[in-house]
Amino acid sequence: MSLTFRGGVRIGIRKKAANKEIEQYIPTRVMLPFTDDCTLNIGDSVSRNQPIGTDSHGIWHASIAGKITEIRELDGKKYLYIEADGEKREEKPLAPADKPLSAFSAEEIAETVRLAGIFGMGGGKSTAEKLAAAMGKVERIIVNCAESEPYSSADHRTLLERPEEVVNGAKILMRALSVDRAYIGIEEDKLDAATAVDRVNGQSELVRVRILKSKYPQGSEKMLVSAILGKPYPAGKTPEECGCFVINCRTCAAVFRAFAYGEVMTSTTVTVSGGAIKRARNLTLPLGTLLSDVVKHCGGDGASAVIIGGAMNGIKQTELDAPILSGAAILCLSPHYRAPEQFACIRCGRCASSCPMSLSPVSIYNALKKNKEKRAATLRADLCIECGTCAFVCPARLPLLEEIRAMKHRPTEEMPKDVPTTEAEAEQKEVAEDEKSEA
Amino acid sequence: MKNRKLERTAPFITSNESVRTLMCDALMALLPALAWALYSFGMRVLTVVAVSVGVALVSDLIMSLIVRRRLGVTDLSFAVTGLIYAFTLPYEVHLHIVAAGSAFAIIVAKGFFGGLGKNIFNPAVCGRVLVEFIFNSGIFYANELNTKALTDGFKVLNTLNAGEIPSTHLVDMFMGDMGGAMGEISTLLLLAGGVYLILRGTVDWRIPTAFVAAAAATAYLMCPHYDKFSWVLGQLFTGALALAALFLATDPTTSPITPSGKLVYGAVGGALCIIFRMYLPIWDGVFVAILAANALARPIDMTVLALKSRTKKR
Ligand code: SF4
Ligand code: SF4
Repeated sequence: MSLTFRGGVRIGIRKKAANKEIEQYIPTRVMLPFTDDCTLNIGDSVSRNQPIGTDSHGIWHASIAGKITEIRELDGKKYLYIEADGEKREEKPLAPADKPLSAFSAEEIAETVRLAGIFGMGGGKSTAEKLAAAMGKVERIIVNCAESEPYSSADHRTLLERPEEVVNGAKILMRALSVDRAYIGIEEDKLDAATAVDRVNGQSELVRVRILKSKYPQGSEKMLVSAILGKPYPAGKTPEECGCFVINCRTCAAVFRAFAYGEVMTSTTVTVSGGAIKRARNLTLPLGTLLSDVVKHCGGDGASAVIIGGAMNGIKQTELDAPILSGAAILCLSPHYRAPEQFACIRCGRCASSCPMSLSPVSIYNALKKNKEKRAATLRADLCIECGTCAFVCPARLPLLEEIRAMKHRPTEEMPKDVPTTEAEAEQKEVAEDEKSEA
Repeated sequence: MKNRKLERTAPFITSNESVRTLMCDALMALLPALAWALYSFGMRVLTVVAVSVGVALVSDLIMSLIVRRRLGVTDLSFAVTGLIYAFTLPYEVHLHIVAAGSAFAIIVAKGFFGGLGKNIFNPAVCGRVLVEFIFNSGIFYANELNTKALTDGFKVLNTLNAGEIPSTHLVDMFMGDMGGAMGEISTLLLLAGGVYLILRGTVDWRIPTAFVAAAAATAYLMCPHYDKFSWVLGQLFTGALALAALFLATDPTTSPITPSGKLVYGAVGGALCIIFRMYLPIWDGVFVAILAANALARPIDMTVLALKSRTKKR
């Protein structure tokens, strides 16, 4: 039986890149963060894999060999603009493992992960820090291969093409966290990936595949934890507090490669898809590749908009000469894309029944429309995972996610901390009262 | 990337269902009953429907322009209101009555409350109840057009409410081989439409089920006739009961959101329907029962939620 969580929505198959092998794409230029401790300057040459600075992501390494020609500013952040010089200079800052896994201590593994500069494909947080924070607190590792985002196939392809990297990555992390259980969560529309895992995993009891219902947002780490633990996600807790160390499957594979081959993190795998792209594909590209280069490479020039992060909750990019620094899907909207027609809310309750966090999006929306931020806070808008399910199902096509997200990202005062316990019921009660006061 | 301006447009895909498709669904579900009305009563049915829907359209246009919301008619809710309202009238009805009720439904019952989604009472039912009070004799005895069909349907319900078993066979009642308001006569075809809506997920099964179950139970308890079986089924198969259970009570705007609230709401509507039929001097107590249940919808929601959160905290 497939596992799942409460709420969510079945979206239907849109993964046009699911049967496309991962391809390599090497651009002629990249943009990488110019961190505070960076000593490089314009005119300096860098080799591939050369450490160039450290920030909250961890250590950055140059992803191509070339020359720094510029220090660019984008949205208040500085980036090194590196142009390839066609040479194959390469550094080896990390040595491959020279002894069996069982001879490694947890600290040694964590150090390898840190030196390799691995960070989460989704969140962008340093994996080494995440490991350090979770050490001794978690009971299980969950490898996230749910990939419920309707256009992405990068996790799916990684698992199909390199299942051994993911499985062994999970085993390395198990040793680092000294836990004896790891689950690989795969949605049931990707059973071929589950077969691939079983093939390399054999009968091993250490790493177990868990088949999940294909339902958005199964790939959100909270919903994954909820599905695998088989209970509703406790509001306000982190996955670690639930005893789960959740890691994306591509990040997991990167851990293995760092360990086995001494590979540092200089690349990412993304799916490029959408109405404006004739041939959807999965690309492995150097970190910092410019979005405009990728879009052009895939023939998405005519796109009416470029979205990073997928169709459900991605963000429209206003600046295409921006670096790709995560594993999020890239979506090029068809030139014919038009925003859906809006209607009036008919109080159908679909938004509330599909919200995976059991919120009542319509009441939060109504509160925000009336500038009642406090009320939105009591409705626990802070718990919203910005998945976009509510706005997807809403027959009135109200911009529910848009409003909630805008509020959450507005740099205003802190949310009140003394809000009542979070129960769907309590929230819905507010709804009813709200509506009463409206009427 | 925190500083990057959030472009507020996600999600970029939406489900195929919009308010318009939901309304289209409702219209589709009403089609079999409409066809049956045409077959039973002839072309004048179309005239009545056209007037009702037409007036609803014009009223909705005017209202939405006055209130200066976006053009409200694209959601097609006016058509559903107009059609359902027409279904509750006999086909002989004077056209000015049709127009008056339809205009009242859209302008007052919906528009004055703030338009689609804000109304507390079902607009079509409001229109129907209004014309019954104002034009009572006009509905039932539009003399020049009076036919056996209408008086038949009227008689069946009256006989039942008087505690007798009418002469029309139960099967005929269920199939719709009887007189009555144009859209109400065939329980079978309304049921077909209702099942379609439930299967499509447009309508929650809870309300109709609770409605019919409560109506049956109440009828059983109140039954004045020794042949309880026939009398109860007679009540279920006549008049607007099926229409009410499947199409009127299930309007999302005027019904509770919570699942258990839906059960309570349906049950209240069903029970009141029989009680009002027996004790109110109007043609069909169903409509008043719907309005009463509508008024209770939000209180029911609140009570359910309050009870739930209390039991959960302990
Ligand atoms: S309110 Fe937030 S968490 Fe709930 S469905 Fe909407 S976007 Fe997702
Ligand atoms: S899904 Fe849309 S129409 Fe339905 S209650 Fe929520 S906001 Fe209103």
